[in-house]
Amino acid sequence: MIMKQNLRFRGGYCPKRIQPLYLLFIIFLLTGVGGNGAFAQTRLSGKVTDSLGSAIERATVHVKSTDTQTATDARGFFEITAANDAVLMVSALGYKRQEVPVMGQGSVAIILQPAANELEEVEINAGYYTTTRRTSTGNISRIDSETISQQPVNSPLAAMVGRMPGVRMVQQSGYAGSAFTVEIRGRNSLRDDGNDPLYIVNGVPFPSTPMNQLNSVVRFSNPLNAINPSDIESIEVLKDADATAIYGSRGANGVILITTKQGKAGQGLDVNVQVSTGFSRVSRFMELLDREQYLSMRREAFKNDGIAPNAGNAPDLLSWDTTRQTDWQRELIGGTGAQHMASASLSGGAGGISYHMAGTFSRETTVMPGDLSYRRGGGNTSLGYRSGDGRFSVRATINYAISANSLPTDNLSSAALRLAPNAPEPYIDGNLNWSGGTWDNPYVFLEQRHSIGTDHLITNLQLDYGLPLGLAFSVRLSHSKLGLKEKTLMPLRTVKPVSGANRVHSMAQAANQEGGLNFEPQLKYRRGLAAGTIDVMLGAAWQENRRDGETITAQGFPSERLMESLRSAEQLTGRSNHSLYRYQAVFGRIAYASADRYLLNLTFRRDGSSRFGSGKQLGDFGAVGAAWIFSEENAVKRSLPFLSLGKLRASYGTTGSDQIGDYGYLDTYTATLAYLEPAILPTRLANPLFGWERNRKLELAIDLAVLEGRFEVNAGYFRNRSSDQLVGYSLPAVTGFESVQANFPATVQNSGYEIEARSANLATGAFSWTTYAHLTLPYNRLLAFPDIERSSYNTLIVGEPRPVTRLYVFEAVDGATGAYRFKDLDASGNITATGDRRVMSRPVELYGGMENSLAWKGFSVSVFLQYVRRMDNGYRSLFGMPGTLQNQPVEVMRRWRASDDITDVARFSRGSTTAYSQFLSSTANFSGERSFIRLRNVAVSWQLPKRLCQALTLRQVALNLHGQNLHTWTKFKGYDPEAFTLPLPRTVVAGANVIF
Amino acid sequence: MKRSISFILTVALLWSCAGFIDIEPPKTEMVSRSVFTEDAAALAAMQGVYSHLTNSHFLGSGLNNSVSELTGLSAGDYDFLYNVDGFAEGDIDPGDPHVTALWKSGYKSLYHCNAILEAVQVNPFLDDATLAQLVGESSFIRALNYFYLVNLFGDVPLVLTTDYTSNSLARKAGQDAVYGQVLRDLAVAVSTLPMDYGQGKGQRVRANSWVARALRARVYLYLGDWQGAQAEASAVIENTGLFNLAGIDDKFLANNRGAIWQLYPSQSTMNNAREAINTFNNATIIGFMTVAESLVTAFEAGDFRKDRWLSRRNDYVFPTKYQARIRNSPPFSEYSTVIRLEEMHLIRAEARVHLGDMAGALADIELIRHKAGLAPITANSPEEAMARIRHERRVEFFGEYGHRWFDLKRWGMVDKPGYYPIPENEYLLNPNLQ
Repeated sequence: MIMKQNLRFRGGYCPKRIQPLYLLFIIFLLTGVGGNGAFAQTRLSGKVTDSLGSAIERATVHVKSTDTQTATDARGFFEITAANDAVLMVSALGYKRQEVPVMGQGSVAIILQPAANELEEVEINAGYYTTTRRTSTGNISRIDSETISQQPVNSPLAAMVGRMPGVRMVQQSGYAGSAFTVEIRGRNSLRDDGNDPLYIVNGVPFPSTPMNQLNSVVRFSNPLNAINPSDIESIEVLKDADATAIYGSRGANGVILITTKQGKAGQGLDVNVQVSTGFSRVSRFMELLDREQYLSMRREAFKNDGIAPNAGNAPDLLSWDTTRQTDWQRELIGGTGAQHMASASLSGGAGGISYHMAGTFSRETTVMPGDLSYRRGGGNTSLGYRSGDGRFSVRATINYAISANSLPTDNLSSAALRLAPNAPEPYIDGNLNWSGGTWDNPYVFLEQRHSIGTDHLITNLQLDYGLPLGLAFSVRLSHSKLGLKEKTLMPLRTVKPVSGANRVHSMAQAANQEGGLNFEPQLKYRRGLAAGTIDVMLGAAWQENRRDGETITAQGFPSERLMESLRSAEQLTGRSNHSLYRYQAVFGRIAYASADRYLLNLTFRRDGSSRFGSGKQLGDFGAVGAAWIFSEENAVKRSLPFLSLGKLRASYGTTGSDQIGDYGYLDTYTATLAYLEPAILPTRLANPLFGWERNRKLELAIDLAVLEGRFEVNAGYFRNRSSDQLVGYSLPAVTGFESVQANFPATVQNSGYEIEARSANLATGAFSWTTYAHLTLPYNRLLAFPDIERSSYNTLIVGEPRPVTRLYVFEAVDGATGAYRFKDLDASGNITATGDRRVMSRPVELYGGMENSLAWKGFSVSVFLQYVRRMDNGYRSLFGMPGTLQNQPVEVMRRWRASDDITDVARFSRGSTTAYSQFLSSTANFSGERSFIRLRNVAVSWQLPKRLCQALTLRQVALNLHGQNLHTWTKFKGYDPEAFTLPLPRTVVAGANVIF
Repeated sequence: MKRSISFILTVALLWSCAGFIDIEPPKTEMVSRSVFTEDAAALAAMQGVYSHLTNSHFLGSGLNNSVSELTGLSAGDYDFLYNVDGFAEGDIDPGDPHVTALWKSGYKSLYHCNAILEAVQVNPFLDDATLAQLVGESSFIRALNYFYLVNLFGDVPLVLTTDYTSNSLARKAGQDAVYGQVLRDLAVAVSTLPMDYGQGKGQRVRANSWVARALRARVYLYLGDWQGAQAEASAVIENTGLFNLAGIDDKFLANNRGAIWQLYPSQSTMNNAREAINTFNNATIIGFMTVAESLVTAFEAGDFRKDRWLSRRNDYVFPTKYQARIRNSPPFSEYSTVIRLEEMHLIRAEARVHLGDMAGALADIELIRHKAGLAPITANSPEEAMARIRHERRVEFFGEYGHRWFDLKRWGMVDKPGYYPIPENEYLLNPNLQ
C-alpha cells in the first residue's frame, strides 16, 4: 500500500522533463554517439576464434592508435572500419592479446591463444558478470576446485578457512556439520548475528540462517554445509564496494559465490573417478590432574573452607572409588574416526551440447565412542545447449544433496576435560551407571541419539539470447528446496534418576523446509565507444523464500522400541513455525574499458525487502570502481619493461543489510503453553520504524606483476563504515525483553590492509615451485555513537575497538589469605564490575596464510600454513574454580597453600566464588596465547607416467595423500586455540583419481 | 545520467508488481491490535500472563532456582546439594544467573501486564466483563510482581508502560513508591475482579477479588498497617462460603478450600505441581533440596507437619509438602499454592498482637495449631505472642514463596545482606540505574 504511494511519488516527479533525457540516453546507447572515426576507410570484417575453432564472443577489436573499436558477436564475427595500413589489436578475456596488421585484406581470421598467466587466464565470477584479475576494478578472492579437492573437509566453508585475505573464518567445533563464523573484512554490525555474508550458489541466494530447531552440538549450523565440496568448481568472495554493490542491500558483509561444476563445450568425454579413505584423530589433549593430584585438591579445598565433605557435596571423595583412574579425554574423544569418499563424474560436450554429471558418496565416523557417523551423498547435473549461430543458449543445473548425521546430544569435550579422574565406571553390566545419581554420565549424550537429515535440491535454468545491435537478453530462473529433519531420542535409561527428571521415554522431532524462488531477467548491451568498450547491464530480481516447520515433542512411550511411533506416546506437544521473505530489486551496471588501460565500473541497485515495515522497504545502493592499468602506458612500458601488470584501482560505494529476522516490525502475540485454556504472549518488542543498514566501503589498491606474471603482489587498503546500524539493540531486562530491532546512529569502522603475493619461484623444466601468501591487518573501531553514555551500549567506547575488553586488573594472590586480589581502581573498598575494570587496548590482530606448491614431473606437494594472531580469554575459562567437583589443568597445583606463598593460583575452594569469576575476566586470564600457526593442509600427489596410463588404457591416474590440521603451533594450553569445544581433528586421507 | 538511472529504476519498480514485498503477517502469530478486538483472543493474552507466571523461574515455585528455593537457601531452611553458591552465605555474585533469571522473569511478567493494561485503554470493542477481567487480573499480577521484586531487591525501577525507550532508562524507585503502586493496583483489582472463581470455571487458579484482598492483607502487614492487615485478613477469613482451613494432608491439593490462589501446572511435560517433582522430593536417591537440620529441630514434638512434610533418606531430610508424582495428563491432584488461608490467620494474629488484642491473636494461632495436632498455647506478653507467631509461620510456610526470608528481614533477624544484587548487566545497560 505504502509502497504504491512511494512509487507514485517517485515516478511523479516531472516525467515531461525526464522523458527527453531518457530518450536521449537510449539513443546514446543505441547509436553510440562519439563512436566511429570520421575518416572514410576500408570496411573490414573478420572472425575471432580460439585454437579449436570455437567462436570467441565479445572479443575487443581495436584499431591501434585510433578511437575505433568494436566487439565480436556471439558467432565471433566483427566489422570495423580501418585504414589499409592499420593494425588491429584483438583481445578477449582469458586470451593473449594479439596484434594483426590489416594489410589491405577485406576479411581476416584471427586465432587467439589462451593467456599464459593467471592474470588474464582465470575467469573470475563477479556474480552478474565475469572478469579477470587484470581487468577487475573490484576486490574478489577466489579458490578453485583444485584447492578444494586437496582438502579432506566436509563443508565448502571449511575449504576456505585461511585461504583468502580479508576473510576470517572459524569453525566452531570439530563436530561434523558444525557452524562457522564468517567475517569478511571484520564485523560491521554491533550485533553478533548480523555479520554473515550473502551466499549465492549458482546465482541463487542461499539461506544462511540455521534451520535446526532442536538443541544439539550443531544447533547453529549453516545449511551451506550440505553442499558437497567436490561438486564445486570455484568459490569467489566479493569484498569491496565495486564488487558487492550489485548485490545492493545484501552485500554489506561481502558476498560468497559458489559455482558448481559444469561441462564444457567442445571437449571429449571425461570419466573421472575418485576414491579416498583415511582417518582422523584429535591432535591435542590437555594435561590435567591425575587422580592423586585431583583427590588432594578436593581434600585441600574442603579443609580450606572448613567444611566436612559429605555424600552430597563430595561424592568423589566419599562414595566413588578413589582408586579408579580414567583418562576421560582419551575415553571420550580419543578414538579414531574413519573417512571414506567415492565420487564419479562424467563430462564433455559435442556440437552445441555440453554436459556434466557427477555423483558422490562419503561417510565419516568420529573420534567419540559409539557408531556416530556423518554420511552424505549427492548428484550434480548440468546440461547446456548452444545454438549453431551462437545466439541462443540454455543451461540447466540440478544439484541434489542428502546427508545423515548422528551426533551426541551434548558436547562431550567439556566432560572430557572436567570429569573427575576417579569418576565412576560409565557402564555396569552394559547398563549406564548412575552411581546413585551422584554424577552426570557423559555416555548419556551418546545413548541419546540426535540425528539430522538434510536434503537439498537446487535447480537452475539460464537462458541467453543474443539480440541485434549488441544487445543480449538473459533470464535466470531458479528454485531451491532445502529440507532438514531432526530427531532426538531420550530413552528412560538415559535419564538421570534424580527426582526432577521426567521418568519416561521421550523424543522430539522437527522438520523444517525452506523453499526459494528466484527470477532474474537481464538485458545486456555491449559496443565500442570512443577508444574503448562499454558494457551496460540492466536487471531485475524477484525472490521469495518461504520457511515452514514443525516441532513435535512426545513422551510416555510404553517401550523404548516404540519411541518413533507418535501414536504410542502418552502426551504430544506440537509447535509450528512459518515465515515468508520477499525481496525485489532492479539493478544495473555500466562498465567502460578504454584502451585496456582505463577501467570504470558503475553499479547501482534499488532494493525492496519485506523485512521492513511500510515506508521503509526500499533502499538505493551503488558504487563506483575505477582502475588504471599504468603498465599499458607507453612511458611505463619503455622505462619498466619487466612490469607485466601495474594497476591502481579504487572503489567507493554503499551497500546495505537486511540481515534481521522476518517480521521484526510487527507487534504480535504468539502461542505459549496453555493455562487451563489456550494462551498467547507478546512475541517481541516491535519497532515499525527501522530501515536499511548502510555500509560505505572504500578501497584503494595496487596490483603489480613482473616478469610475465611470475611475481605478483596485490596490496590494498580498505575502509568500511557501517552506519544506521540495524541492531537488536540490547535493553535492560526491565523493558521486558532483552533487545529491540532498531537502526542505530552508531558508526562502526572496519579498516585494514590486505596484501597478497604470488610467486613462481622456480620453473626449470620438470621442476616448479610456487608460493602464495597473504596477510590481513584488520582494525575495528567504533567511530561515532552520539549519546553513548545514555544508551544501553555504554560499555562501548567511541574510538576504541569493539567489543571493548574490560578487565579486572589482577594484582596477585594475596599472600595472607590465598585469595585473588585485584586493583581497586575506584578506591571504593570493593571490587565492582562498574568501577574496577580497565579498558584494555589490544594489539593489532592479524591473520594470513601461505601455500607452497612444488612439482617435479608427476609429483606435486602443496603445504598450506594458516596464521592468526589475536588476544582472547585463556584456557582457564574452560574450567570452574579449582577445588570444585571437576578436574583441572595441572597448573593449578602451584596454588597458594600457606601464608606468604607467592603464586598466581588462589587457594582451592569447594565452591566457586565471585573472585574466581572476576579472575576469569581479569588481565591474568587474557593474553595472546590464542595466537597460532596451523599446518592446515598438506597435499601430496603423484601422477602416473603417461606410458603406464596408456598401458592401463586410462587417460590419467593420480594417487594422493591429503592431510588436514596436521599440527598447530600455539602457546594455548587448551585443546584448540579456535574451537572451545571439540577440537578440529587431524585428518589424513589417501586416495586415487582416475580419468578414463 | 543519475536522473535517467533513477527514472529507469522507478519505471522498472512500477512495472514490477508493486505489492510484492508487502507481506501478510505470519500464520503463526497474531497482530497485537487484532488480539484486543476479540474477547477470546484478549482472554488468551490474559491466560498467557498466568502461563508465564507458572512456568517462570520466579514465581513458578516448584521450578529449580525459583523464589521459593532461593529464598529457602537465604533463610537457612534449605541446604542445596548442587551448584547454587552464595545464597546461604549472603555472598551472591552480581552476575549470578539465578538472580538474573528472577529479575528477568519478574519484569517480563510486568511487560505482559502493562501491555494488556495499555491495550484495553484503546480497545472499546471488548465486552465489559472481559475488560474488567483483563484490568483486574493484570493489575493484580503487576502488584504481585512488584511485591516480590521490592522484597527481593529493595529499590527497583517502577515500570508501568511498555515503552522501551523510557523504560530502558528508568531510575530506581524508592520502596515507598513501589508499595504505593502495589496498593493502587490492588485497589483496582479488588474493585473490578469478580467475587467468585468463575473465570477459572471453579478452579482456584485465577485471581478474583478475594485473592487481591488476601495479597493486600500481606502488604499491609509488611507495611505495619495493622488495622488494614486485620481488616483484609478478616474479610477473607469470614467468607466461609468459599474458604475453610484445610486438613494437614489437603493443604496443597488442587482447589482445596483452604487455598485462596493456586497456579495451574501448565508446563508441557510432567504435569502436576513441580514442587513434588523438583523441590519437595521424596525420591529414593539424592535430590536437589534438603531441609537444614536447624529447621528439622525447630518443630515441636508431636507436630503433624514434621511427620508429614519432612522425610529422611540417605542422611538427608527432604521436604515433602507436595507428594503427587509425575502425571502426564489432567486432572492433576496438586497445584502450586501461592496464597492460603493459614496465612490470613497468621497475618491477623500478628496484626492483633500489635493492636493489643492478645486473645484474638491466640485464637488465630490456635486454629493453625489444631490442624497440626498441637495443644493450645498461652502467651503472657506481646513479645511471647510474637515468638509464637514467628515459630508458627516458620514451620507452616517453610519453602513457600519466600515467606521465611521476607519474615526474617521484616523482623530484623538477618545478619547478611537483605537484598539480592540487581543483575550486573542491568547497571551496564542502563546508565540511570545507580
